[in-house]
Amino acid sequence: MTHFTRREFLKVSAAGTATAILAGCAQESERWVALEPYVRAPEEQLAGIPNWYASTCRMCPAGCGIIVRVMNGRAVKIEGNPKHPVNRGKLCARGQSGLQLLYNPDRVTGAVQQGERGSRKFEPVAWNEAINTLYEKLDAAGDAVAIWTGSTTSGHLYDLFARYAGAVGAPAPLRYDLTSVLNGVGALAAANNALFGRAALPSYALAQADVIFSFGADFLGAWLSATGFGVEFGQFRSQPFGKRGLLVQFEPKMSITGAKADRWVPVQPGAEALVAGALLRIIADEGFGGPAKAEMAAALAGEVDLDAAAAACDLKLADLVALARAFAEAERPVAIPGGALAGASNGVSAVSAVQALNALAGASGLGFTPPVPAALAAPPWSSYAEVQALVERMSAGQVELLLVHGANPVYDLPPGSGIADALAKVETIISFNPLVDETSAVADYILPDRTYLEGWGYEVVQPAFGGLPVVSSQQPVVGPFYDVRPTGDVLLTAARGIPAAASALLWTDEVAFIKELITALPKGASGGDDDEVRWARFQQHGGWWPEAAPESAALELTAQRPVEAAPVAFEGEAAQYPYYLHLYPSVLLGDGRGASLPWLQGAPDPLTTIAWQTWVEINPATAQALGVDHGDVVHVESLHGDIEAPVYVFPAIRPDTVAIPLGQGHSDLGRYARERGSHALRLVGAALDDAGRNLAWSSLRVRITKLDKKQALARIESTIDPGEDIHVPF
Amino acid sequence: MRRLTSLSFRQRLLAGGAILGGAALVVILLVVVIAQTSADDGQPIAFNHKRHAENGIQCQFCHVGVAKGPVAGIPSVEKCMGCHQHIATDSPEIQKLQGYWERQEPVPWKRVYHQPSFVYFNHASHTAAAVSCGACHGSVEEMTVAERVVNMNMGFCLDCHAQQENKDALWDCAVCHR
Repeated sequence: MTHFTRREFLKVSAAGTATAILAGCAQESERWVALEPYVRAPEEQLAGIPNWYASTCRMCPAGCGIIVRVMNGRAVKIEGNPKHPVNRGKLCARGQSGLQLLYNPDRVTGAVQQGERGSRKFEPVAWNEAINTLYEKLDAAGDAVAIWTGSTTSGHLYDLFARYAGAVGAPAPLRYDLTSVLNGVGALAAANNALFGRAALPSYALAQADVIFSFGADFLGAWLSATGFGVEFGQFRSQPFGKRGLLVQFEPKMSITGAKADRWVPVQPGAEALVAGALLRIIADEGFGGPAKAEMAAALAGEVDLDAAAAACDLKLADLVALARAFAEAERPVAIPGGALAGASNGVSAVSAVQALNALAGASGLGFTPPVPAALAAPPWSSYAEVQALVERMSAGQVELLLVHGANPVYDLPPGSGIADALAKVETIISFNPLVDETSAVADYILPDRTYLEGWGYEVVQPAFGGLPVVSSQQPVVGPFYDVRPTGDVLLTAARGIPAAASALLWTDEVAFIKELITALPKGASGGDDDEVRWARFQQHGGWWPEAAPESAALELTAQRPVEAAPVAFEGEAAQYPYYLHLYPSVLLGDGRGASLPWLQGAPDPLTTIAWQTWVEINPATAQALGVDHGDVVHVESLHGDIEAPVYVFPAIRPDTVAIPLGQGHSDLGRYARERGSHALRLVGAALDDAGRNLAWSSLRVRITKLDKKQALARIESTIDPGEDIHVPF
Repeated sequence: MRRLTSLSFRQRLLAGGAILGGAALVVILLVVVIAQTSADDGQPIAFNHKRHAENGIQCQFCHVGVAKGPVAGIPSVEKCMGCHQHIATDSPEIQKLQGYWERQEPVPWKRVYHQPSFVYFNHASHTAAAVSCGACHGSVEEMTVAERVVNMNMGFCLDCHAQQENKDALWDCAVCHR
């Protein structure tokens, strides 16, 4: 590294300032002399006065309401919609960055065709030609068409795709991406179905809770609906009479939620369910919380080795008993199972073990979003087993046409899934994604959809909060930037020529479809007596929700038998692969979508302050044993694959565990994402969990080898001062 | 005063350098000034304010935001064409306008007045206080192509603020710098 003396530094900065002043003089006048008035001024626009439009965020599937500040036809700022029941005026960093998707310099600016897959040489195609091609391919494929949607596919588009698939006799669209995997939606729905007879994503009334036990759920960071949970958490911390609740976080590596917890318990990966079972056992044996709770606990608790459970979280048994007592004696305790738990080889039973803790207090803190009273429902998430079935059909050449919208299967699936080979067997792949991602790079056509700030839609929110069913509205806040067409309209036009589908898709355009469904809703909180007013209010207020939560029956356990989690089967022998691997979604990049947005790339990770990179978090004791320090590049190897990344020495992680954030390592997705960091999903195999439906991605062991390389970490500062006397629990 | 010849060599060198430096500065300033003023000329269309004012068109007819918001605004091409599809259609300048309309392009007008972004200026509050347009912009109705006749610096604003009844409130820094 070059070292500057003070004198040299002053010289360079003086020269720089002088250049900036001279250049600035020339540019200042240039910058403001050009005025660009409208050719046709929209009536509602007045120069210098912003318009705010309500819409729905689509940076993740949570369905937060947003309001967008528009100056002279340009979206300039996104904020949370204060009226919206999900995020109640708040918005996370990813939501704020939505502007950079709209203005992304790497957007596909019109319909394109790719001659050779993977060549990334795209030839423009006129839209009428592109739509005609789609029609011809759909017509030829008949029921041999597969539709793959994801987190950012609007609800209305999923519904249109589903109607099309139903009409031509093709399987229902797949809704699967890395977000759904990392949230653990499959195991959550399956466990809730087994325990409460509700195959849905849970919602937790954190605002009214007095004790929260979170088992690896980063509900303030990147899990399910973090902004909504964040609002609830704020209320949890400021309850009447100065009550501020108790949050205990059980997880192998500290997350942002762990950092905010009153007590962080570094539990061994895979042992979370054991600890949850032990808590039940202790409550049953000690009779904590009164006879009713103890009786319920006795019915649910299995045989648990309490000493092993205490050892798995580095606690004395007495401490574990104290935690069990705090939970049992709370009025409204909540237990939350996280994504890593749901992604374990015993995912469904592990989630069940944690959810069972909620049953102790009559499941007062646990809720499910009531259905919307109309022909509207949240689109179901697909399981990994359904993905496998499609991959098999594609490999067998049974899929002639694959339509991809809002998902990126090449990046979202581990290499062991065989997705790359399967895609090669599909005759035609058409992507609707706004950027050239890894899947669009092997597509034959890209018919780019409008981004969510330019397009129409709705979202049936799942999970919503406060027992309110919510249909969030999405409307164009600006005109389309490029020659891009809404996929709904493209599909409706192409389907018009297909006899089987034409009668099922009668709408002239997607707006007519959305309007028909929305005006069928009963009068909501925003009122309006006739259809036109209700339709206008739906857009104006940011969606539809009732004035008060509908009456819901109390949750009851469908089966009162012991909930016992099967032991976790880790992939990789402990002798060869000595460390547990803890993969987690980046709070900023999410499942990797955020990597194309420089604001998110440049924002530091809240726990490590690292930006623009992939890193491996290693405990100081382990780092010492391996002889590595900050920035030493290591080779991380599992049974299934390997990556290289620099080390970040992090005290808030177990010595037997290494943690790697997901989201980087793109080969495409624009200039900000490409060739940056590594994709840790390469370490994951394609094993299924105990229910045989979901990907078991978190039960992995790895080995670490130090390489003779260094890579400086782009971090603001060390969060831990070397001389600082901090409490490290090991 | 000593004569130049009586100075030491070193002093003469310094004086010479100062003169040369001064001359160079004057040249740079001249270039900057010329560049600045020439930016005001060369509007894409030689819009004639005087002609429009003579025909009884009020300022507010085109600058619609002046009483409603912070920015007075420049009319859309559509608004110009509202009259000029019939009026003076054989004028070469109007034909330029029609060209923009046919291409559906905005007219790239050059700014005449500008306030930096650290100044909060609102046209509406000034028109509400019955400040006439000409008080700040000069006699635009006498101009052909609009010219910058007023130097809108801070002193200009304060001269007027100081004469107002509520001058104590209007003298506060945060009135404009907020």
